[in-house]
Amino acid sequence: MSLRISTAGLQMQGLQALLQRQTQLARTQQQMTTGLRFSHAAEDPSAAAQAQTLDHAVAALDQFGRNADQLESRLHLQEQALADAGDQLQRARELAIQANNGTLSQADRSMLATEVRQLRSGLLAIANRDDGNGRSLFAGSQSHVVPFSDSAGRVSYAGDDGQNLVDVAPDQALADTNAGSDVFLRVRSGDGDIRGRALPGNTGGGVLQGTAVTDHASWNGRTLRLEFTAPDSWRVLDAGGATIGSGSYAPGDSIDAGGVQVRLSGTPASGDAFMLEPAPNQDIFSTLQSLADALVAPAGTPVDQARLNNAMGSAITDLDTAQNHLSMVRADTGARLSALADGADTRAAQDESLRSSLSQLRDVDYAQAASQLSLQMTALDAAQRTLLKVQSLSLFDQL
Amino acid sequence: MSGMLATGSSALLAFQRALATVSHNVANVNTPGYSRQRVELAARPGQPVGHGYIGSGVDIAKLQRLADGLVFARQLDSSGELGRLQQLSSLSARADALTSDAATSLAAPWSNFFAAAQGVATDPTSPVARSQLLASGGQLVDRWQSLDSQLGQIDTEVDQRVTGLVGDANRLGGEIANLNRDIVAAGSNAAPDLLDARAQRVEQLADLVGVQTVAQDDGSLNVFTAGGQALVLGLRSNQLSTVSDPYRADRVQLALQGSSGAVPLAASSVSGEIGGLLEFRGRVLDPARAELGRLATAFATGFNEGQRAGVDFNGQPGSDMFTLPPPAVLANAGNTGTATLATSVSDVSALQGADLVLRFDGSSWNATRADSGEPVSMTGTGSAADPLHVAGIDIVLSGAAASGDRYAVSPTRGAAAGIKLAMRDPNAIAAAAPLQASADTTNLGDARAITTTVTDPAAFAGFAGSTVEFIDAGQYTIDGAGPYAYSAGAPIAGTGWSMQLDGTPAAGDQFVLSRTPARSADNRNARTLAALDQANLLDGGSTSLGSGLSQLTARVGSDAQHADLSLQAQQAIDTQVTAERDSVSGVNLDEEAADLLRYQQAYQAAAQVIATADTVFQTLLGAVRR
Repeated sequence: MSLRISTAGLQMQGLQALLQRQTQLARTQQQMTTGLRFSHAAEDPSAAAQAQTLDHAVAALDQFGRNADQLESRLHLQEQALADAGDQLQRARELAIQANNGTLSQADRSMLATEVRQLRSGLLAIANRDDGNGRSLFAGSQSHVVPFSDSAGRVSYAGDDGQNLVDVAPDQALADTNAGSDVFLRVRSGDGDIRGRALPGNTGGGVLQGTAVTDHASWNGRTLRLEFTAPDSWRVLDAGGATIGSGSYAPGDSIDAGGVQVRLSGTPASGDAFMLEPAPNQDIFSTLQSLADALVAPAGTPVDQARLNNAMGSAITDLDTAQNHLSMVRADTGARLSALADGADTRAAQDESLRSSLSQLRDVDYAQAASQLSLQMTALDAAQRTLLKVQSLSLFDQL
Repeated sequence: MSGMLATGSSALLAFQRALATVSHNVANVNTPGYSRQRVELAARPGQPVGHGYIGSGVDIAKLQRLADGLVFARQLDSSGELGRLQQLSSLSARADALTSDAATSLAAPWSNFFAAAQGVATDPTSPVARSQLLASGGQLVDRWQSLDSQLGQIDTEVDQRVTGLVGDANRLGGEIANLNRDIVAAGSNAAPDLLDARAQRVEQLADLVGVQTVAQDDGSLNVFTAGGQALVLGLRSNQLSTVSDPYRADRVQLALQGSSGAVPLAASSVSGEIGGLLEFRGRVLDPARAELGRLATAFATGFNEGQRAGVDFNGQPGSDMFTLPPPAVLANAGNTGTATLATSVSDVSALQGADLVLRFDGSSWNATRADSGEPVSMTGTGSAADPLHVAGIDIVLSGAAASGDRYAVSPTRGAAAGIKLAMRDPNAIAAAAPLQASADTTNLGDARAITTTVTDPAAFAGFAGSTVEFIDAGQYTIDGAGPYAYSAGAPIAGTGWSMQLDGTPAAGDQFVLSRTPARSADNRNARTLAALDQANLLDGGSTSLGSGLSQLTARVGSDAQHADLSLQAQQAIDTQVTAERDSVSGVNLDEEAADLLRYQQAYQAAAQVIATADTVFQTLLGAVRR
């Protein structure tokens, strides 16, 4: 026997079907108007949790982007500052070469000295540049300080060695601007290895033309003393006073001893000495300062002229090394800027993939939703019509 | 002839009754709980005449109420289950909406906070970035509080609803007992509509608490809860009531009034709407709030620890950014001792959300989980020097506990409501690491200090600066002590600190270590803070805060989803059961119309029998008169 149906039950059944269809329709409508497949986690808990994690990752990427923008602007400023500093050094080097040719008058040289002093203060201004937000470029991790200050010809540094890392992409952190001590202070003099220098008490006309290490192993970082026992005879002593080489000299000769080669011109006096030592650090400001000081010193006598030439020679070498140093820092900055560009690519790629995952997780497929909507509307329509038809059926109408 | 008249009139009476019953059915076609009735007709026994028996009409044997006891029992089951799932599903959906909707969930302020922390790491000296971090910290804390308080409101609502529904259940129980009395008094002649009324109330009661029934011989019906506690026994009904939770006076618990007072009922012993409410509270709401609190505890503790590891913009050691209330301890109302428990979180990674019950057995304390009763391992004696240590919490006892005293410890439940932003000064954000190193400007080697870390804060406390000097590339001294051998890349360790170099040091190179001064732009500590969302602080170091957060969303969401799916299944079952009941007891108007026609025709025929008898009688009279 088939199941008996009660009249109330039949109507309730129709009504419930109608309500159910309406609920489904409302949900599809909500999906289509919001564009989201679900509005609450209950509709797809794992997708919702995953979407939440991805949202957080997307927000972090945005922040990495802002970090990178800030870092990029600071690094560009640093690069510009280094380029400007390099120009100043280049000009100073030209002036030193000009002063070295021996035909300039005292007045000419003091004009050159004035320009060198201007270059030095220009360099100081460059070293004290900030990033436009009030933060010095070259103060390390010190803030609210003027990193370099000049007092009685000496530049002192108020910053420190700190160099921050900035996160620019997931798992990619790049170094912020270099500390001023690394850029301007800790610069080797000489050729970066060895420095030859004429002693101030020299009375001859010997001028150092170049000092170079020919054999690192036998030099081994020792401080050597090149002494002239006679204008045409030399010896090289080590720090303990032991003679490690000697020979005779004619102007323009190279002197080789202890792994070091010294080229000299002019005729030194007996007792003149040259120190050959591991190149110490010398800040760029001091290099310029001593150049300017040497330029204003009198050069009337051959001895003074030799002193001037020695000073110019070592200034030129020091400036070359400093320029190389700045170029290296600049190359390093450039490498970081290019890593920043890579970071931007990484971020863009990640952002793309995160957003597409997010879209797959929770965005509505409109084609599917639209066809679902029309199907559900048809079903609702059918439920309404059926309900009406079934309700109108009654045997009582026939009585 | 008189036989014929009598037979005809018996038929008239019977069909009148039958028509009245049909009318009654039609009248009650839309009455809830109505069971259709039917007149059972029976032929009157025949009267003996010489050659056999002649029938003498029809009798109404019985007014039948069409109902099936088995279907009724299934209907009760289904009602209880449906009531339970309706409450569970609708409340879980509300909790889910709170935790997953962007406007109320933690997700957006959480992301903003960590973006702001990254902002400080990028520009540590910027007062704007620092203020931004504090402001977004405030918003995050507010969101935590408001989310918890919204869940707390649902909790309060559950209590109020339970109290209200218990009143309804008691009224129904009383009515069922009264109907039992009327039905027992009427004996076997009890009116079908009385039985319907009782069945309907039992079903309503099932919807509230879920019941089982046992029919008695005298016609009464005994009603029990799903757990077997008697609600109605014959003519007597037992009252349900709500009593305060022994640990939490602000929360109600279901109890049954027995002869010896109120006996608390376990949430699992009732089904129906009340069961659904209690189940929601115990299985969805409490764990969600505990988890929310656990995340708040881990976040605040982790961030504060990070803060303390750094130095702020004024050069001071970092201070706490957030404050948290200690884990809540609630004494059982029946405790007789005077012990008080002071709690603190000692290990975030061991924290569990579940409430614990601590019991003193006269000599020692032991801990169990409040929900399952499982023992939880606990160490320590409870003194300040050696506190009780259980599930990441330290407990210091004072006063004297009596044997049998119990305390409930909620490790994390109050944390989400109580987390506060303690910091007001943006400069107090500890962006810098406490130790910095600088290479001497005369250093000839290319070695640079790449990391300087504090390895032991206690030993570092007395640090006032150190100098590392290299004798050559393979040996160094610290403040003149040494020499120590150096190999490239190996850390140089001092008292409470350690430094790592990159590059090769030259003889005479010096590195000066000092405390980070005020106004430092160092961002090492800020970077650690900004990466805290990825730090595995939870579950013994296996779960990060970020995934803890999405796990909470997933958990509440799947609770809601599960309840909703169960509800849909139960609705299908209920529809089926209702159809079965209707197939027995429901009124079908077409059927009634047919019956109406049938009985009307029979009535007309019976009237015709009377008329025929009369004609026969008149014929006889006419014959005799002549």
